[in-house]
Amino acid sequence: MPIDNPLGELEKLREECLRRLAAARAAGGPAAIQEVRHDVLGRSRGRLTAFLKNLKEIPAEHRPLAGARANQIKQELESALAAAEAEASAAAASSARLDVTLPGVPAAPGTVHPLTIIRMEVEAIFLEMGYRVEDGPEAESDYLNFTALNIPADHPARDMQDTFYLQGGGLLRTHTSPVQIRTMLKTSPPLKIICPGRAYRRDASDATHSPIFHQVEGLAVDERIGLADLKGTLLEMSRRLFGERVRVRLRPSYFPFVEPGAEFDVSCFVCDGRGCRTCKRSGWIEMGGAGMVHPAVFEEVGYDAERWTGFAFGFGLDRLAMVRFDIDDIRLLFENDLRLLEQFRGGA
Amino acid sequence: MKFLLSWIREFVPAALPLDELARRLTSAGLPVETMEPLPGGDALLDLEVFPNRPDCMNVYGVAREIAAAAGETLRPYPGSLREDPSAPSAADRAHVTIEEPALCRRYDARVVLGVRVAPSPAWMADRLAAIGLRPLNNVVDATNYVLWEYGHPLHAFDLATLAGAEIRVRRAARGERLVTLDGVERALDEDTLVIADARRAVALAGIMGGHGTMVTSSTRDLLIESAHFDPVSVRRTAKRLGLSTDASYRFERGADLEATSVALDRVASILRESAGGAVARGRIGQRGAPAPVRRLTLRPRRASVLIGIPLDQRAVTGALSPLGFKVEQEADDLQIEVPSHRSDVEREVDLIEEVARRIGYDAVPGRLPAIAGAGGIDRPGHARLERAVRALRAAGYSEAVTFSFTSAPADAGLGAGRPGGEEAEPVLLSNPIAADQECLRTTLLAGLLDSLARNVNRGVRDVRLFEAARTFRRASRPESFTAAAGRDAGGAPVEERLTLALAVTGAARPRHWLDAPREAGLWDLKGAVESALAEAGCAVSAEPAPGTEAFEDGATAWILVGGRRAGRLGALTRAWCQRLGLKQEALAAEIDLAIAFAGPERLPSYTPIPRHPAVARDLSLVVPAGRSYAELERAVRDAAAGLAVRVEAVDRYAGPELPRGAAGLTLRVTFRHPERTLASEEVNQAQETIVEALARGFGVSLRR
Repeated sequence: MPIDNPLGELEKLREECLRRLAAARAAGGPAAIQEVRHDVLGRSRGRLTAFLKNLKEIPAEHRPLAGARANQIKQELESALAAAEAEASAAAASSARLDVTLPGVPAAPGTVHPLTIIRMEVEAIFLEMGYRVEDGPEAESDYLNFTALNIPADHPARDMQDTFYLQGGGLLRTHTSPVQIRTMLKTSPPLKIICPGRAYRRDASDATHSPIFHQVEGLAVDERIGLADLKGTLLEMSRRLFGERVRVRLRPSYFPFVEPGAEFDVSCFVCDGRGCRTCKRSGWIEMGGAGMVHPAVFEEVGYDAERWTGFAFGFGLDRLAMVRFDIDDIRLLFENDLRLLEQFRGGA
Repeated sequence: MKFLLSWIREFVPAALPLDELARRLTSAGLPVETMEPLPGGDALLDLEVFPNRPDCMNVYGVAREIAAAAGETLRPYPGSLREDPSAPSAADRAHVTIEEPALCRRYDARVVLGVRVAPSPAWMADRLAAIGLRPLNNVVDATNYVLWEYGHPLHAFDLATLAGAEIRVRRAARGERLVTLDGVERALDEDTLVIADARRAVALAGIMGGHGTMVTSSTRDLLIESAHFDPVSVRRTAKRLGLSTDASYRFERGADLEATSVALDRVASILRESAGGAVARGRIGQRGAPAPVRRLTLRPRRASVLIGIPLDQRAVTGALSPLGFKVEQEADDLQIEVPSHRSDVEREVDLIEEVARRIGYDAVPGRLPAIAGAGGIDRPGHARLERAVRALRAAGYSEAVTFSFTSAPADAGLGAGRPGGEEAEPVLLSNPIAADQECLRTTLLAGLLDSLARNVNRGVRDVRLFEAARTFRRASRPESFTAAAGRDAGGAPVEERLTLALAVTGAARPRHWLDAPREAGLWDLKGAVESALAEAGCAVSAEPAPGTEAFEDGATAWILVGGRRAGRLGALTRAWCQRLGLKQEALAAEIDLAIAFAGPERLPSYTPIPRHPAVARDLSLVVPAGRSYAELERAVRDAAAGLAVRVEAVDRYAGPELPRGAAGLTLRVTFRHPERTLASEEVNQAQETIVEALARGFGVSLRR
């Protein structure tokens, strides 16, 4: 191909190129920029590439000048293309940016019931203190629920607990205390156990009473166990449940299977004993019953009541859950409303 | 039990400020439930008196505790009567015979002549009214007054109405009837101890007087009873008749034998003043053997062990004496004489409790027992259940806790046709709270589905719940073992089984803008069950189960663990959903963990990671009707002779171009040889063998 005016061709090519590049940049498309590069600098069909390849066909007098100018234009176009490409890719990156404030796909795990959360917490406390966690049936015999616990038939203490009886014999345990008897019948002292479980009393249902409720029973037997050990144990448990500052108070009370018998209170962890809604202005939260195992109970299970002494305690898990989580009606614990349950996400 | 502070103050100064008094009473074992200040410095105390302390069920007993707790002096009780020597002799006017000395150890009586029955004087009526009693007249009120003041029940008969002027303490005859003071006619039997006159029963001993012999406005002469009745006899009769009175409440808990004459003389002196009567000379009645004096040994070192603080003879003596215990030293120990009003003190430990109470539980320090032993959880199935629960939570199921009671029809409907073909006989309550809670659940589903439906009805339409709890059934063989004391210590004839249940309705997963919403179906529920059981180390499979009233036929499966039917899952029938008030589809599953966890647990173990590459091939199949996925998968594995290391269903399709009832199924089969890299001809060969086997055995063809 004869080239009459190689330098003029070169300048035309340069101008056309820069014009197209400007248009492509305005359109913002990386594809258009790519097209310009391909047309001009492409290895096989690029027009400037071809010009440089065909330099030897240019008349010798123009050749040095045309060659120098072509390389100059090549450099100029290269840098213009690079700038345009960088600009385009930056624009592309900015348009692909994600709105990271949109919600992620939730794993949405289910929750554990507040009663289970509390039970596991109590279990962990006593496991760490070396207690075994025992279990026992909810349908019990009269003997294990009452008689063996020093509550014989025709004893007025039976009036303290309204009992559900079963057709065909037996009853629903009114407390978790039968597990004391079951454990002692199969184990030799020393021992220390707790037993969380369900208990039943024929109470009318209201905000603070449920015919079905949950207790934790505790029993420790060894030589020379005293009321002081009971108090220390309840204090340790209460501190871990409610914080280091709480105090424990024992008050004389009566349960036929312990003597001395007591009820135990924990100083209110909300108001530190000054009186608030949680502790009904008393400064104390009533927890449950406790005491030293009555020798009649040891005699019933064949323990030497002279050699062994022990303490027992029991408290309500439902009440504990209510106090801890500020739930004001025990019935809410049995409704399984997901709007309540889902508040316990991450609770255990 | 309500007490007027001014009444207590007749016997003890009780000079402490009210809140300090309340604190001391509570720490002495008489918890103050409420305390209401009254005009004139008086107050109404409501005390909780435990059933072992009948001695505190009266003003004087509370005064005795206050005296001990406050270090004050208790005044002697005004229980003596100066008789008028010129008065007629009571023995000439009436006669008492105890025919049942085992049930009535003492019957003291006085005769009061010429009373004028009228309203009580204000001081007496006001006090009774303040503690919640309704004043009647100056005679009946006087007996109540002394009961509340001194704790001993009394009864006044109109002497003129007693046939033969006679009292006989005897058992009722079968068929004998008595109209009691409350106007109710009661049928008696030989187990009922009655007070009778010469002809008929006139009172239920220790419980309530009779209508025919009661004091009326025309009554002139009285016979006042102050007796002691057997606690068990009184309790049984009161229970049988459903009649609990202030008198029976005290006799059941143990009245003081020595109080009969004191209370009798006190009421007689009150009657003389407030009703104008003349007290006849002498107490009449009959007495059995006097109560033996209770003497107990108390070892201070034993008290030290049980309480946990060192106590010597002096400390123990100082604690017990103010309560009326007589204490004598004997070597290292103490001999204690128990006052008659403390019927609850029978052995050394009872005295130690008194000591602890008097020292104050607050004085006992806290310490941790040093009992050796490692902690651990002994609940059967505990660890496996925990892992199953973890998987269920990951699948979005939240834990529910429901009642163990349910209605028998709901329980039967959901439990019908349970796995294993075994029917569970429900255990019914003798005294349910409500008719729809008469049955111990044999299935968790009734309660769980109620919770599910409650959520939906409250507008929470996407619900996934699980519960792990016990179900109950009549035991084929009641548990039996023997207590050390030789007694039969068997449990109740009820079998309890750890059970796991799931219920689901609404969306399969929480709505998210990336995904198309989808309702939860059988595959979601089945997946949750499979993951939970696998996590618990169970080998799970499934097979079709028949429909029932509750479970939809054709959408219900048995859950097998180790090849044994352990549970069931399925869609609920439309009828059952309607019964729950549900308009949307719901599904449920239940697994008997007693069965599922009975077999060996699959424990994790390591197989070396394969070094040779695997080749996956997709087979798009047309599966004719009636063929199950499980049998195809088995056939694929068999045909590949160990080379197929994994078979997955990656696509399932049903369309009009397929033959009727047939389904398109894409299986992804992963081939691998344990020891070398498979050549592609070998894979082709295996694939062909599989396709041939499926065609031959099941009529399955490749989809074009």
